Amino acid sequence: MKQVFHVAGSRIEALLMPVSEGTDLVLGERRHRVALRALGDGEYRLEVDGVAHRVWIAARGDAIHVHASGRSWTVGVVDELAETAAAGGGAADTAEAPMPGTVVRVHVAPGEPVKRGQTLMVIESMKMETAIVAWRDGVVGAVHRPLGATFDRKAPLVSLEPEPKS
Amino acid sequence: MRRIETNLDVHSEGFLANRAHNRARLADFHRLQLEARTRRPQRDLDRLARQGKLFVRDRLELLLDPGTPFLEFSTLAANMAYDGEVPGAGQVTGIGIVSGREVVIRADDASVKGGAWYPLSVKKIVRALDIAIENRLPVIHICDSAGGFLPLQAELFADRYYAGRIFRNQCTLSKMGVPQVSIVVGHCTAGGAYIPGLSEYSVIVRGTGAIFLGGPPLVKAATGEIVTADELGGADLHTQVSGTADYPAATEPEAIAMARDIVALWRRPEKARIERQEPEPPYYDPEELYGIVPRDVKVQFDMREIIARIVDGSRFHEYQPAYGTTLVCGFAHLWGYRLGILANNGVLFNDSSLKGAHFMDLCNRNRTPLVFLQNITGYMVGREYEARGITKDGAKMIMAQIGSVVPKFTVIVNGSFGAGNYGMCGRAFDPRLLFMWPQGQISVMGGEQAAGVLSEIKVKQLEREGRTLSAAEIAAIREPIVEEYTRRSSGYYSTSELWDDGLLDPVDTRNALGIAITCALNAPIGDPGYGVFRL
Repeated sequence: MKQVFHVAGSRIEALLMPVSEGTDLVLGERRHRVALRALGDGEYRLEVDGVAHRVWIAARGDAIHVHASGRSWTVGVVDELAETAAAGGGAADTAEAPMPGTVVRVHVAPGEPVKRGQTLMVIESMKMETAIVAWRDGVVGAVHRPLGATFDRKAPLVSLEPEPKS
Repeated sequence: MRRIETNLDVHSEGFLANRAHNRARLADFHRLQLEARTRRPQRDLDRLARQGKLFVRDRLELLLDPGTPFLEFSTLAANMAYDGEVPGAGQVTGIGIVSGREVVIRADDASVKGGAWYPLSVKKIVRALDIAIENRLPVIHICDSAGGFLPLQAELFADRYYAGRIFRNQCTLSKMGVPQVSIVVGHCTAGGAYIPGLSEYSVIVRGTGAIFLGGPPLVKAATGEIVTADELGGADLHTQVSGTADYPAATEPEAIAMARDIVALWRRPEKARIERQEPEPPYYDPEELYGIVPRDVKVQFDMREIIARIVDGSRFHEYQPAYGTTLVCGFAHLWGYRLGILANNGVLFNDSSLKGAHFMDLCNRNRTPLVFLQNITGYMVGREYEARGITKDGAKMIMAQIGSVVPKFTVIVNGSFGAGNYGMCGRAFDPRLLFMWPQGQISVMGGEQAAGVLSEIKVKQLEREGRTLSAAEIAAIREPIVEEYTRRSSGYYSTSELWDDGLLDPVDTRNALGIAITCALNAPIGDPGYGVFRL
């Protein structure tokens, strides 16, 4: 399976391909015969095209730290699904009511800058209070329902200014 | 599988306030639990010492494999009953590892009222054996009981799920080929005598252990015969003469070691196979759960934030993310096991109910155990929703559950109200295990609403009698109703009455579910079959 990595600011696509004599690392047009053997305690013996290297590898969260030939690299593993989903454009600009209810608190006004996760409005429905939170950083475009207003499901509640296209 | 992207601001005022509040609440929970486990009146501990008997916790220590987890059930059973004088309902039950086998352990706690069985003790024993039956887990009994608590005999003896059910469950296990061993370290009197009697193996301690249908006082009253407990039902009588018990032991540690040796003889079960991969801890810190659970049960939160702090790598494959969004459904791994999760993100609508039923069927077809994370006020009400058939869609969820054959587990994360409790696999719908977080609330409708209805009825009644009530008088009627309703819908009341298998500190949820799933695989998984869905 193809894997995507970020190394020192570049995006690298790599593929490990089993071949009859071992394993090939495929990087675009290039191919290298590779073998990796764990020596314990984070140390590995890496063989690339018949040349052996000693490397140290430590993983923490999504970051993999690699030390070899007196240098260090931090390798980020890229989730392909996350990457392709992000490329598909941002979410809608308007929060819609998840259920019918009443506005019980309004925390923002149009023109106000907001951070992802910040509470914009609180609604009450079926005895539950639900916070409508900013789904991205941005600027409040409109508050569609004032305090005390009732609304149906899917009614627009708060909009953010459209994201500038980059 | 993608990692859940958190929207949580761990430096926000709300997060910090929730965390401080929940930590204080949980400190209370842990203190109460510790007291229920270990705090006893000195005279009871002195009596045990005088009799040369060990405290039940020390017995468990000797029995369990060192360094292995013990998932204890219902530590706070009976905490709101019997004036709080019967901690843990006088029983210790749980799943542990003995000689490398997963077993259910059920132990009388003789430091509580001489190990007498109260009605809730019986309920706790029956439940432990139900868990053994459903998961095909062998049982180890540690027997040391004065017998049924006579003043309350009417509430523990004769009904279907009362004491007789203990012995019925023992026979059921035996019939299924699931073995039991009894370690008789004290008295097994009357019905209690059947516990070793119905076990495949029993070990009895010379001098302190005894098994008899009627103890010496009863024998004297009935026939005039004067006899000591040891002569009547001691180790030598039963292992040499009557054949009621199998192995004599000189001391408790010897008896427990013998039981461990017996368990080591048992066949290891073939576990049901489900999808599994290399386990991974959650990416987000589970301690952050304390900052998510709101101070007020009315405040909604995103259940994905909870899922992210329980499952492997915080990874979640959400199914139908844009449909019926008030019920979050999706796949994740826990301890490497693939699971289907259903979690409430608001009231259940028609679409969310259909999604839930559909997802349960999907999981049944690909042998994926189900985990229900409850925070539910109920199904949507109102003319529009009735017209769309909210009742029949809710019924589909229940029908899908009862047709399910994969193991189901339920955690009441916060609120559990009304029919939502049913749709989300409440106690009546046979989750293999059901846990509750201590601040959780459970009742047929919200406390304030119910108290409102109840007090209104009373006020109207008085008004019909020609009395007009001042606001203060109405409040005087309302307040005690609210108070009583609140008390009986708390997590502590639920666990006191054994409506759940125990309260859990949120950070322990992951491991509790991990043990639960591992154990559930001791029972085979069949093919799903459903009743009639009202389509």
